[in-house]
Amino acid sequence: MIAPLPGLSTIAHLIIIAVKKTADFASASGEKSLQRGSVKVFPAQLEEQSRPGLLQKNYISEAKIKSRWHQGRTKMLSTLIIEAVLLFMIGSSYAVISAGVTSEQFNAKVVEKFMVRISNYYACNNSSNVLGAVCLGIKQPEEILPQRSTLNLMNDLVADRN
Amino acid sequence: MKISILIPCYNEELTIEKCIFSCLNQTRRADEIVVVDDSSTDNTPEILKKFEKFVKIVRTQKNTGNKSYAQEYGLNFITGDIFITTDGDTVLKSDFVETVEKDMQDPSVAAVAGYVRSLKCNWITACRALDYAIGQNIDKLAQDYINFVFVIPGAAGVFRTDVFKEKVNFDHDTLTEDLDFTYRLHKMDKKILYNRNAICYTQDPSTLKSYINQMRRWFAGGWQNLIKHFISSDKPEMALEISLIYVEGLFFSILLFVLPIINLWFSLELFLMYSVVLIGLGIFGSFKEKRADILIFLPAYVFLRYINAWIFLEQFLKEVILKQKNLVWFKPKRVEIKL
Repeated sequence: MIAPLPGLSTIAHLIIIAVKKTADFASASGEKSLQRGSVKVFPAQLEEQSRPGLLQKNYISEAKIKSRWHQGRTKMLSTLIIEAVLLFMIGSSYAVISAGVTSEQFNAKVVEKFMVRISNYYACNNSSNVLGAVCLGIKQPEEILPQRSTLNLMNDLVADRN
Repeated sequence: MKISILIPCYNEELTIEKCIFSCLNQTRRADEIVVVDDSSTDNTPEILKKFEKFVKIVRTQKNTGNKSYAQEYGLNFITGDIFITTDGDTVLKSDFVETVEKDMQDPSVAAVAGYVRSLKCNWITACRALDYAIGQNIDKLAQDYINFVFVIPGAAGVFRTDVFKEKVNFDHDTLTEDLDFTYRLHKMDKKILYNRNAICYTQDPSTLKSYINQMRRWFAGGWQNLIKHFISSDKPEMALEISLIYVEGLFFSILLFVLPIINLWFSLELFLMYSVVLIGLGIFGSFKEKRADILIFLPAYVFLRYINAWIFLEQFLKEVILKQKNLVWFKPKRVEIKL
């Protein structure tokens, strides 16, 4: 029995794998640190001198631990990279679709703002260069008329035109 | 630990020899191999005679018509502590027995699910290989992490004999016996492991007709098992998996056919998005299975998704809505195994 379509279940399973592997990675790092710590506490040569043969039996050499750690880390990193690439591809494709769906609304808002700005600009320019500069954001209203906001200036403009 | 292998077969003259060789040629040899000949009408009995000294060959009185009957019959002859189920068209990797033996050392483990690889043949088997790669390296791996392996494959399953004989056994009221006994093991809270190193190679349908028939059997069996074991379970992982597979499968299968009628443009956008996901999965599958043909035949995979979705809905209608229970086993045409 296989799933008819690899879809959301695959994504859900990828997330489960990512969480589990990250947790494993974290705990493995902790264990390795502990192991390395124990080797430092019982220096190889000293231990071997005091109890010959015991070292080989009970302890792993530091070099071996490092090599194992290195192998494990490489494996883990490559797995994580593959998973990250897959998740990125899935995520980006979803993002593309969701952006596509909302693009009309998005465009409408941008165009609306732009048109207001343009109409304000022309309105200001027709009556006064000073007000036009305020509308374009070149000058702050306070610089021209202290204690007068842009809204008040616009009201004045409308009153003038009337 | 005594290990047995159980192989049911019916008209497997092209594949059974290699299957038995692979079972004999293990790094840790199985203590017992039981081959159940389900009254084959081809050259299979003659081929089996060659192996009489090495394997236990038993024959049913007449063809049972369903693999689970042959397996049940063969189980009576199993004496091992654990037994491996495989198929007559399947080849076990040489370290299969050794690998699963280690897992079964833990007495709490009741069963182990192995890793199935599809033998290379044509574009259909390449698509199936991708299915297996996704299913076993992503889905089943995650299921193993949440302790709910969805199915122990019949071609690569390992079981503790006493548990299986006393509490599980083979039922014959569904078309997918492997899903059936996996559900029953879960209901008994038995521990099931998944081992990706226990590998077997199986022969999948190589013609479109065979593929459709096999999918019909699998999906019909899936719905039959869902009805049979519909679990108002208190196990959240079980509910998660079942809803993911069946509910999502149903939802997206309907969507695949209905959406283009409602909104063609949006369905094309969705298709584009799915293609990106699919390319990613194709690269992943190709890398995991070390097979370039998976990537080459990726467009065909999309085509087969439509067939899958159609059959999934068809079987939902037949098995769940109309209650037309189908128990006729389908056996795909075999070709010689080339490794």
